[in-house]
Amino acid sequence: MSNSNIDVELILKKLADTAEQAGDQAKKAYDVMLDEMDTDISTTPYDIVYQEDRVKLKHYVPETVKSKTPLLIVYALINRETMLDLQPERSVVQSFLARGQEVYMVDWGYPTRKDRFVTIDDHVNWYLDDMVDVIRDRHGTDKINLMGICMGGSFCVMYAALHPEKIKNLVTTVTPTNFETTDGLLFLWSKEMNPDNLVATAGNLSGDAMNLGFLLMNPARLMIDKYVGFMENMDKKDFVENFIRMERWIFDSPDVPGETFKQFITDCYQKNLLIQNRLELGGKRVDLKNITMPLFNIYARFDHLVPPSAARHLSGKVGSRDVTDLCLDTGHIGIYVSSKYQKEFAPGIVKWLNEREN
Amino acid sequence: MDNQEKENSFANPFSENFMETASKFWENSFKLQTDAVESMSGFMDYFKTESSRSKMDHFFKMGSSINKFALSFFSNPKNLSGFAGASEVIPVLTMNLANRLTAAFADIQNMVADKSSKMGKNIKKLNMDDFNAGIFTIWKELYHSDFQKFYNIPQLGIARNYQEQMNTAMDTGNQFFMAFSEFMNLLLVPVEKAGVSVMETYQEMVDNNQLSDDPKAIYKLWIKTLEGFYMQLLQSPEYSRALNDVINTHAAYKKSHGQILKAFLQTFDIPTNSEMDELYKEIYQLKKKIRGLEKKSISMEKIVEKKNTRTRRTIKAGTKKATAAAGTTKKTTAKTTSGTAKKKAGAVTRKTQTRTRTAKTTTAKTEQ
Repeated sequence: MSNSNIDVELILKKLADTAEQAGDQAKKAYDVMLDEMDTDISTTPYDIVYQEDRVKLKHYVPETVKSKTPLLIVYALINRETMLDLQPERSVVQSFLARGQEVYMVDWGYPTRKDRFVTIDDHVNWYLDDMVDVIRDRHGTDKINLMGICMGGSFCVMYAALHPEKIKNLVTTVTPTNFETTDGLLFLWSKEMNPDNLVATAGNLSGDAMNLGFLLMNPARLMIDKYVGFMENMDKKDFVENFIRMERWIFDSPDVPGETFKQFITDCYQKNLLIQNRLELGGKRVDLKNITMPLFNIYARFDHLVPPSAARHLSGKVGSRDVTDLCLDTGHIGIYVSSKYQKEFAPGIVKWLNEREN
Repeated sequence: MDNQEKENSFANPFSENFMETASKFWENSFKLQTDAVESMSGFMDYFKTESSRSKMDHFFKMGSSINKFALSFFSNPKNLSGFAGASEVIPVLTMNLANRLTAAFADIQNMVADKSSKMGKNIKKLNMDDFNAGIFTIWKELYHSDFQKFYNIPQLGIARNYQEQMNTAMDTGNQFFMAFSEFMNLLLVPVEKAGVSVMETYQEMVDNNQLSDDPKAIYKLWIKTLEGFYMQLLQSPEYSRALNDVINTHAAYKKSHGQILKAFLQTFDIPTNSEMDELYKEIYQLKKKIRGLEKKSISMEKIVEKKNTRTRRTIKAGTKKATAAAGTTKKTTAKTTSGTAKKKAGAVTRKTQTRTRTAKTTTAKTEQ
């Protein structure tokens, strides 16, 4: 080591200051952690208007209904739909309601071993179709608006292609439809994956195993830096409450039914059948050209789970002439929870739907 | 039989007498027993029957003749010397057997030594610059070529299935732990590399007098470097292979474990997962069938409902026309004829009411 002119005294002083700050912070953090905290998620009131097996249909009603056509939101089977109503000031649901949009939302529930044989066909042509029919009956309308999130978006694309007569407008958000890409780690890893081995013993894909997989996509940030950040802000009650809310949501992962997972990995991730119009559900081919209703395809530039290359190709494959693409400068979850996109995401969708109301 | 033979003969008068006495003793004791049995009235009728008694006689006669044969065999000095000669051979045979066993054991030892020497050869190939990756490859090769075979030795006997299941569980367990260790080792590589890299950068900063006075800067540098190394690793084919190895070996381990558990549960009459899965599948298929039928019935109901609505509309329209017609008649005809028109209109209304009721009943039935 060569001689240098490092101001050792300054560094030591900084270290001492930091240690003192950390001490003060720890005292405050102690109070915060022992104090009563509001960490509830999904607090917007709703009614369960329909239930079939574990699957429920939530209904959110705005104070003043301005929309003529109700909107059905379909979340993924991975994690839970509560992400759309994480906290009052970061709630996609409340944002919709504030603009007079009546919202229905699918709660897929917690699949158990008895659900291991439930297929994608069952999710799309059974549960989803029944819920669409329920909403149509309740509102006395032939068509409803459909919005899908991530894997739920893929289900919506399949549904809209198989039942176009029931859908007025289709909104897909961070929805994977083209699986022939090497941009995301999931796409790389799943190519060699044997899904049978993941579900053979437990019947379903365990939520914990999936969470571990997601953490391993960026261990430095998700397993170390995130918690360092938490330690640094433990003395701020708001920060801690929001952090805990996010933790509650992230690690609330239902298992994915075995057959559905196997089919999704094999037919979509490995064979890429959906975008090629070769996917079959219940003996019927899913032809994207049947999607003739207006399509709003939203994806995120920095999405590490569904990169733009996996989401944007849908627009060119559907039969609709009214297609809108929107790429936001955020990540997979940021679209729904970042404070910046609270002002753009849901309000943008409501505006787009209203423009197509008549 | 010469004198020498007589001396060696086992059949001396004492032994002859002993054998005869022994035979007679058992014959007499049987007779005594049968007499005693005969004296017991109404008890053990079986022994009193002629056939059973002849069977017992036959049994003792056979025993007596075996005794006599043994006596005559050992009375012959040639037979006896042959027998004695054989006993001299036994130590030689034993020695021979022991030698062969020792030789076989030595062979096995040589084989083990041979395998051990191969182990040494493999370890020599290990590149110390890539020690972490190399050691797992060598261990895996060694396990598959040498150790795994022991778990595949065929088992025998009534419990062979269970023993084989145990062996498979141990084998798959070893393979899983091997894959898991390799995977965990791979995950630690970026941490090691990031540490080295940060130290080098830190050294450069010190040398260039550019060291930041913010202690957090080092952490930020480290986490950024770590993330970079992780991104390199996670996109590599080695990582994909190691990850899939963990998944596949874990599945195999859990499966073999499950087989043992299944056998265990079955002994306690507790339903196993595979039995429950069969049941779940049947329920799922039945539900699917019922749902299909339900959907069909609902669509049929809707068709009927549509037809009924159409019928009701037609009837309503007919009633309106009839009422309108009646009104016109009222206005245009004389008061004397109004009664007839009212009757006609009434008849039409009654008819339409009857039709509406029929339609309602049909709807109610279909709803039921």
